[in-house]
Amino acid sequence: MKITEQNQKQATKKSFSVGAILTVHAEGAMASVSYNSLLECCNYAESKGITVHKMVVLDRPTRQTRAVFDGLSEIENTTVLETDFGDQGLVRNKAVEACSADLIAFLDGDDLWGENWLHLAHSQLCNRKVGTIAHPEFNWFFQGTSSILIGTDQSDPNFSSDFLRFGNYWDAMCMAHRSTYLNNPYCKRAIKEGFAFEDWHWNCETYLNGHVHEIVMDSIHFKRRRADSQTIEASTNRSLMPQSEITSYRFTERSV
Amino acid sequence: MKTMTMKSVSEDSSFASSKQTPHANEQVADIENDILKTPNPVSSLVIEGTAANHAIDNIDQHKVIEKRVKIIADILSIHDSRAWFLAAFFNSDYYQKTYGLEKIHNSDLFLHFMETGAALNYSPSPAYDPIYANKLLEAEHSESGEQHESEPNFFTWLQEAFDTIVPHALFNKTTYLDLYPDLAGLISNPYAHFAVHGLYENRISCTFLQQCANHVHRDFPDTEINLEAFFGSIPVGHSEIFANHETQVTLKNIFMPELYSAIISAAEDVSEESLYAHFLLHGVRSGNRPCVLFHEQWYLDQLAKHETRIRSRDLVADFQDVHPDELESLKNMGASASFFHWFFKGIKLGIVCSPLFDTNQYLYSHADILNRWKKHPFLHFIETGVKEPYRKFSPFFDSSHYIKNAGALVHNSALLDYVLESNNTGMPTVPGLMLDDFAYNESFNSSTIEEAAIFFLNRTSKLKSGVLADMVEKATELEPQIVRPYGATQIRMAPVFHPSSEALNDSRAIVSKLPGTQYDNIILIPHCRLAGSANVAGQFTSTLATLLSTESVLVITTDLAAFDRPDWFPEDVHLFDLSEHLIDRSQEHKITLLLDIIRGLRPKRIYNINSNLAWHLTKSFGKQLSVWMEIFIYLFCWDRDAKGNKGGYPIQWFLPTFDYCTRVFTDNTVLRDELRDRYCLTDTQRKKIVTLHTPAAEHDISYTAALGSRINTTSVRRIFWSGRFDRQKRLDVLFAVASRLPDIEFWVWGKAVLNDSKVLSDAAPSNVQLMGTYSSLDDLPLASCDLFLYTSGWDGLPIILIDVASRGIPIVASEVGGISDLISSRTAWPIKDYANPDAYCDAISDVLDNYSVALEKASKCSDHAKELCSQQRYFANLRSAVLDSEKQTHKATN
Repeated sequence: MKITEQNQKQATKKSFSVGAILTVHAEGAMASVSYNSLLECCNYAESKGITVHKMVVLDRPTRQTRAVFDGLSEIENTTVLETDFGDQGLVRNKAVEACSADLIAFLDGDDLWGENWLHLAHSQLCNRKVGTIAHPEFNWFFQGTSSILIGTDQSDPNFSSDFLRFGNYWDAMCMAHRSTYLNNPYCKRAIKEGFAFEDWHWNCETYLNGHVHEIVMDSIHFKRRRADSQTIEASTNRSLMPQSEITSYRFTERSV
Repeated sequence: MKTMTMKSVSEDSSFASSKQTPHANEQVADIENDILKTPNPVSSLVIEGTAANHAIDNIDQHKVIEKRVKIIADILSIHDSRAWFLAAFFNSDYYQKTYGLEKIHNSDLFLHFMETGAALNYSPSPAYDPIYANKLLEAEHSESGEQHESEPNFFTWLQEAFDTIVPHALFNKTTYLDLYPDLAGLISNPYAHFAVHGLYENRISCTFLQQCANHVHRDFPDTEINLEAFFGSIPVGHSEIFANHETQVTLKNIFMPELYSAIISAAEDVSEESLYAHFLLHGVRSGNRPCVLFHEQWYLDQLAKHETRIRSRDLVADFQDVHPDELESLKNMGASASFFHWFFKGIKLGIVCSPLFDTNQYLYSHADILNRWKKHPFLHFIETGVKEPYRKFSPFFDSSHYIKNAGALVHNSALLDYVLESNNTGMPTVPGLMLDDFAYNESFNSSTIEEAAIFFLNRTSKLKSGVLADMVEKATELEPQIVRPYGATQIRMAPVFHPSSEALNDSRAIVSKLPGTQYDNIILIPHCRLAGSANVAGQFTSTLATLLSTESVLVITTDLAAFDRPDWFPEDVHLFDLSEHLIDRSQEHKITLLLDIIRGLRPKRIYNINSNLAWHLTKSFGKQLSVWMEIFIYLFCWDRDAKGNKGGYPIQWFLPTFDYCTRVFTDNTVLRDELRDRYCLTDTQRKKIVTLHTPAAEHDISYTAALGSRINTTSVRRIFWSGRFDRQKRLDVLFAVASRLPDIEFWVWGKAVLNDSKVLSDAAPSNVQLMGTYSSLDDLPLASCDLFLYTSGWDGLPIILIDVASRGIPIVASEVGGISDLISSRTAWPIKDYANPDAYCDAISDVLDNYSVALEKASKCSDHAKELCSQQRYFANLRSAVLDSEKQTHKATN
């Protein structure tokens, strides 16, 4: 949905609550590391006076993954939701519907947040228009590879929308207002049909719809690179991002 | 401070007694006498230019010296010549700079030394090396059996060893006196003379410096040597190790004469020794770097930022064998040259002086370094590894990648080669790094790639300290794997440094050259050379443009820039040569770019007519493309490889792409049926394969009547042959036939295109005349020839055969591929045994012996060709295939 002028002008609210959502499926014990990261990050944010709703979404969980979260809601005041999508994008859409927080941040089941992420992203978004989407300054890739991705802000002079035809500036572990997710649902992943990278597609569509992607300075995410991850599977499968106007040269011409 | 040129050894400005006596009282008297005898006693003692008297006039200088002598007497109770020596010896500028005493007033510096500095083993002059002096003092004490309660310092040397120990490793008494015989008999303490006078007169103090100075004087006569600056450039306490032979060998290994020569614009014939000497005596303090792995500003920044706190993941801790008490002393730059500071001190702190070296990457990429090298890995690299192209040392520079792009190296190191030969040329140093934003060409002391590296390293430096470092540490406690794998850490920053950056860059160039931003139909061809497929592509494009007159059409050449026959294509269709943008690009990269074009231009349909790249694209992404557009492919005939096995597009590409195609076009029914049968296609699938017989050029020409005059001719019989001189067309068979029929003339048109034929045209028998090439068949003297001979080993339905057949000319042709669609024994002489020259000879004899029958067949053949290969039929079939068809491919949901 195209961002409207009304959305843009919507007054910022200083007391936004934050939904911290962990999505898991077959990560097994790795998910507990991610959950611990989520808890630390939530505790840190709460210590700064932010109201945080914790949620774990189990999508077709393996036995080992389910075991990690057995009885969790009673212990850590965490909402546990189970879905049967087998699709990361649809899981996120469902989680947004189920979470009533103003701002929502996603954590993948094998990754970690820097402890200050929720706090810094919340602080930034509280002072921005509602349609703003926050990303970390750094993505730190580990295990399968060692690399650091320096985040690119949309206002950066090097930012250019034509890059989105070839690569993804940002991943799905962002924070945005709930309405942003509701108005721009993730598309269905169809790896067998050759289409994947729903996060890349979501970034393209939100960009096209007028949302602004920003970097939150001094924040970092830690992303595990597993040989059997869905991203790796999509790459080796020669998957493409689903069609987006951003790949059209007519759009490129207009945006230059 | 004034720089003095080298004085001749005959010039004397002696600071010495007239008698060479070691007795202190006599020396005092002599010095005082000297002072009193001279018109300006202070200037004779404290020569012009000494730091002690900087900006002080002579009268003030005298006062300063006298004041210092008094201080010395008060503190040390020394009243002899040593007091005067120290007063003149103390170099306040050097002292202040070396120990960072800028806050102390100039006039108080000497007192600071006397009261504080000396006890801390501070050096009062660049000619005094406290470490070296202490070592000699301790050795002397050891020999004499004396015990000292505390560490010796300058006062110990002054009081106990002023005349016996030379406190700097770059002074040699014998050399000094040999070089300056004018001093003989005038001075009792050559070192004292050097330290107070000679140093500032640029008198050479040792053999090593003499050799260096000789090189500089010979090859750089305009270069002024400033010995005070040189002595000052060596960090305090390192004179002995500097003079050490091993150190000099190491320094020379590090030194890159080609780089230094470029930095100072030296003449080509200057020797490496002279360049090195120039660097030591002049360049090092001018900020010129000795090698591409020393970046002064980077080093100074790292030194300033150096933290004593080492985090667990910082490998550098392993290479920093320094006591905490030493840290401040090591970090202090003082008056020393930055390069010498790094070499002697900075490396002890674990500081790497180049932004292009990654310790982790080097260590974990090379087992020999990891397992056997005990020193800092950078020391291995700067001395040896930089010249070894297989070494992996930087996320920003990969020698193999650079060499692959640059070709043969001019210099013995890829990095040096880049700085000297490729800086600012856009030469890639590592995949994905766009260097345009980092252009640097101010001097050879940096380079574009170093500026890029500095940018990225500075950008990520916050991960090593402050809040982000805390985040990393906390996360590491949760998941220790975060710090793994060890070794190289790639840095990415879209769109400047990213695996997709090169594709984006290339794409921008392509988009800027494309004639439009959207096309309804895109025809992909490899090139347009003199070949039947190019001719078909032209006819197809013309027909399509007519058929879809309201839609736009773009023809893209993907594999080669050649476009020999633009006249084959309609004028109102846009042509674009993609191949020129793909030179030296990998196959994957080419596919990525073509995919971007196809997606970007948003066509309704794409057509592949023999484009190799388009085949690859369809194989890789046909599944997705077929969701967005219709895909049509064109097949002509299979090929035979060098071993005689079938190959080519119908064999290689049909199966991997068929499912994604709306229609597969063939130019003959034989191939269509072969594909249908080979793969046991269902009815629906069989309908996807459509034969489009290539239309004959429209004409009213018939040679049948004209050839009638040759029915009973007694003149020489002629056969014409036309085709590519390639393996497929069987030039060997043609020549064998010609050899067997020596009385017949063979007029042969064509040229080699693929250059794969073992039989070359110069092997032609004498009755074969090579006629060159032509642009129109009707320009040829066909009425003077009796028949057309075609010897191809495999084929589709060749256009030349259609053109000849439609003109009513008798044909003897190999019956291969789709040729049987056109000719049969009713209309011509098809040769089943196509590799047998005798079979052709028999047929030719039959034609010539029964020429009236031959002309009848030719006439039938003409009618058949005009009907089978008519424009109307082609148009109708194409319209049916493109417009009236239902899509056969499965559409994936988007």
